[in-house]
Amino acid sequence: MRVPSMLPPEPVEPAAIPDPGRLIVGVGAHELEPRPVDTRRSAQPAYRSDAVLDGFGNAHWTVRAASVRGDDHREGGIPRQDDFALGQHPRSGTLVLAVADGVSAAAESHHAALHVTRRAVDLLLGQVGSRSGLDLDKVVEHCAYVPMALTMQLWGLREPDAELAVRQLSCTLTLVVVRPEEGHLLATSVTVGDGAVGILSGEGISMLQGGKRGTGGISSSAVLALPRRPELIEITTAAVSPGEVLLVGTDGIWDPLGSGHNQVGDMFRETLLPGPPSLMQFGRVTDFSRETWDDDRTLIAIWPSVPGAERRDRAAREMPRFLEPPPPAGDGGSAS
Amino acid sequence: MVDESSSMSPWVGYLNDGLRSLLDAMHEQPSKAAKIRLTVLGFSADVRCHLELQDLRDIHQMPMLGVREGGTSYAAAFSELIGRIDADVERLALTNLVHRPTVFFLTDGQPAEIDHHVPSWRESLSRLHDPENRRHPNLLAFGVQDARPETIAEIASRPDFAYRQSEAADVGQAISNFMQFFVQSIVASATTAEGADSVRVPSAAPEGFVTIDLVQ
Repeated sequence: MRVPSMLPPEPVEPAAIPDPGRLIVGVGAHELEPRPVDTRRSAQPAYRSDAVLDGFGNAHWTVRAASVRGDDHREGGIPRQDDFALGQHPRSGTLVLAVADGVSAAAESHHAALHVTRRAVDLLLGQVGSRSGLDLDKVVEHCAYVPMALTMQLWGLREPDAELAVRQLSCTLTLVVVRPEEGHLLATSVTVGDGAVGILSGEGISMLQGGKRGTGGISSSAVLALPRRPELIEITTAAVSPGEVLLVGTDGIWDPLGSGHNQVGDMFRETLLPGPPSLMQFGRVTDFSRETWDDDRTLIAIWPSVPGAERRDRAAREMPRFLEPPPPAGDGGSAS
Repeated sequence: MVDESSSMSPWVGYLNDGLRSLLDAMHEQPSKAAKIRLTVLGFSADVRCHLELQDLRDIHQMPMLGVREGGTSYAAAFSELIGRIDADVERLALTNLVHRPTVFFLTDGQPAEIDHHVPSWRESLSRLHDPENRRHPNLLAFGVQDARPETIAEIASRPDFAYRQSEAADVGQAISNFMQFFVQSIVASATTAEGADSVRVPSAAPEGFVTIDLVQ
């Protein structure tokens, strides 16, 4: 019988693949290991990932999407309350998307954000393919019912409880439909709450929808959220041209980005204006580290395709290659 | 904004202890401290600034509050707040998202009867409360000893922001608890701000205090 050695194992050389870590903008946030979600706080605990990434493209556009837990929630073991959903209408090449931000004080709002965005995309895809066309007002109306219906599912009620839905399941909602047109994209959007939509270009950011409002230098943190709806829903439509990027995000993105004339704006211009980055790089852009900005963040970026342009060689641009070590001398390796 | 009139002499040590615990709490939670800028002011006949719009991560010692002769001029305190809040918000908003400022006001007395300040304390207070003043602060008022409940209620920006010392309470202990409440409020408010208010206070009044309900 072999006696196990009591000697410590030989130290192993760390892999020579660099970890780029978080992208730091200005002064980075205090580094911490995220805590697992404390499921004891939830009426119906369910797995909730720290981050979600998605992205795809067609002949007309490329989309990247990321939703990440803010440092404050990572530190407190609170689930990511932001969420998004994407969909493409295959026949028309139309992109539809929904972004939601659960209200912090509403403990189950992550459930609402998850279900509202998925329901919204289903409805939007149905409308894009229908004869009657797009009716964003109606989509908002249907989505406003989702938190109400969730009260039955989560608490086993027979009837929806409006007061409970407001208290526990409030979330903002931003909807965008992006249609390919000749030489550009046409983006139609609506927002309930403090999510926002804007166009990033070399000049800065031009806002199309929403955002936080404040007066006298004081930010207003009051937010209207589903199941409540504003009396009047403002629908905007704008063209997005090649060289520009359509940005849709929650306040976790827009608060630090503001008008784009700051370090976060510089970073966005540098990383997003040249063209769609890889999914992982887009995740790093969304999860940038900057002190005091610790809210959940969701960002969706859409690039109109540039006619005749070829895609960049992303692998060469972004990440160092991991190369096989050369064979030791005399190993019989042959040049081909 | 703390009363530094001579009658506060027995209690000033509790305030200084509380400021030290705030500094410790902020050093233990630097991500929260990053969101807070603290100004410490003391008033008597005039106002003294002990700490100005300070990032608490950058200091290792809190200033010492003291007491001095000269009465209790609410007028000096409130007019100082108006000027400071305007200038501070202006300055911070250049590079930050600024939430509504919050003032914790503690006094052990009534406003000086003869107050040479123009405008009067009530005029300055009404400017602080004026919703048309876009930078009006949240104003939490705490009264101990001779401070009258109706005056404290008048100062607070909301009825539930007015606290008076409960009758059986020990003043020193009450002030010590006030400082704990102050620290807890700052830590809680430094989490992601959302909702109608930018200040989060513990739901219960600090031990030794009760909220003032003038209807009863």
